[in-house]
Amino acid sequence: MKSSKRQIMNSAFAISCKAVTWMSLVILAVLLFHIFKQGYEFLSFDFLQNLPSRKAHKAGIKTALVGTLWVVSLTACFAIPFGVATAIYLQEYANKKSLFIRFIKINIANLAGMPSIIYGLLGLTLFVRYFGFDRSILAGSLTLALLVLPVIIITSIEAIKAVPGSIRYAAFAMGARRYQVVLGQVLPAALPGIMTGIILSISRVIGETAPLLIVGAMSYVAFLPENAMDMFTVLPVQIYNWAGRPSEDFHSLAAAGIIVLLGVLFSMNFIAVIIRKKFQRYKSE
Amino acid sequence: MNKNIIELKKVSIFYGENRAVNNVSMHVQEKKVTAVIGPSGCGKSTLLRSLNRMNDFVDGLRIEGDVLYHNKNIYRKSVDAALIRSQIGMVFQKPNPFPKSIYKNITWGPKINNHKISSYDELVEESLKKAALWEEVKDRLHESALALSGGQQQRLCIARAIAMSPDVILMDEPCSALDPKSTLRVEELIKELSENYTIVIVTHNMQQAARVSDKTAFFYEGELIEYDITDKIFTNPKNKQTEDYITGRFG
Repeated sequence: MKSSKRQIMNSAFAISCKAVTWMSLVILAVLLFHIFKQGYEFLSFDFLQNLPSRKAHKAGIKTALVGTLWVVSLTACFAIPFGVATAIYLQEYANKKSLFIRFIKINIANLAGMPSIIYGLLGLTLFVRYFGFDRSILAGSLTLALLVLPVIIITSIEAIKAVPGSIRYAAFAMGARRYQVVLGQVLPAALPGIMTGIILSISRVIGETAPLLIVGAMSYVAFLPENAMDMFTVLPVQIYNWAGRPSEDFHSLAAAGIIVLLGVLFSMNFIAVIIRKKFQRYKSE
Repeated sequence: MNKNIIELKKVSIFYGENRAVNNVSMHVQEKKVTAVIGPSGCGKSTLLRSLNRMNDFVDGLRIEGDVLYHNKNIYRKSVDAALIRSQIGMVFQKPNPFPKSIYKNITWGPKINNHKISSYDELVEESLKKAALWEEVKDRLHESALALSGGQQQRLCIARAIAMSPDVILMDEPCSALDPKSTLRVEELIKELSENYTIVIVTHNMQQAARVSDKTAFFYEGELIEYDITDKIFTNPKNKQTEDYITGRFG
């Protein structure tokens, strides 16, 4: 039987989608392979344990790793409550027909697409200089919190929007107050979606370099931060610094740093996915 | 003679400029099933939702006249609508269980209303038994309510309403999303429940009204055309329009 034009189009479309998918996967695999090949000789327990050094073979990533963990945790502490609460207000309480509210929503969406360097400049002016936090973890975290806040707000709004109205009405019809409806029904139902936004944001915080360079993450910090006001460095800044040196050894060091960065990224995402799964239990079975 | 638990006095309801319910006066008797019938768009669901102030969530809706519940107007400013809703339960057209376990679906309402419950396990069992669902779900109380069939979900919604020990249960076409077998079960359930609860049921299924209700109100274009004992409405209606509707000449 002769295949019709539509049948040919059908297979052609499927094949091209498949080809494009595999192409990106292959490129990613080549990249990872290259990094592992270059970095594995430096990857050791000592590498995680050592402080930075001018000699490549003695240099470690400990300060950057600890710095990244500090920055990620503090940023999450600021951005998640503010972001989710804002989304709840905008979606559940504010008058959606109000022009002002619509204006705010559009601008939050715009902020989510702003280049991160601009947040860096804002952080430098506001937190480092005006509030006098200096080149501290606190200043860096607040800057990154501002950076990811729009992403968290937008994904949370979408997640809350996706909760069917019938659930809200069922709750109201049982005499629930609005806060009980929001906290007891809407938020738990929206949590998987909200978690997705949080995962995206955390990944972005871990990888973000530019604003932290401006806010003053150091490339050489010889001690571990002990509180939020200490100087700090983070993994991508350390990697950037190593990659910029002329010696070949430092390039391998940078590759090892990237492997550690990926490890942190994957484990953070893994935790978030587990939390999301736990709450998705009741979605549909 | 049962006493009147709800009384409507010259109630009109408007969506913006449109009048959905026009000058309706009627009463609902305690521990009886009152059916509200009429063609689609006759204002019967709007009227039902005005009895527990679920209309408050509709933009641009305005109500005139008095809705008396135990002789008190529930639209006075001092009335706490949430409290009214905790006493007048509601079962919706489409089953809408919470995306939680069967157990939590039942216990959530009493919990947030600070009801004094000595044993939640007993409350769950009792409510599910009253809703004729216990036997089917007793082994999976902690599984998702969304895994139940449509008919089971609707009975869970009824159990959820019963767990609040309400005075009145409002039902807004509770069987319209169900298959005939589930419909029959829910109808049997409504009859059983009427021994202990006052039920107001909106339906566009006339046979259903005839099967389950004690009194029937016929609405047409927002007006109460006839309200009487169900047998009378279906065998000997006074009004020509009612007769035309129940004999299937229109609607």
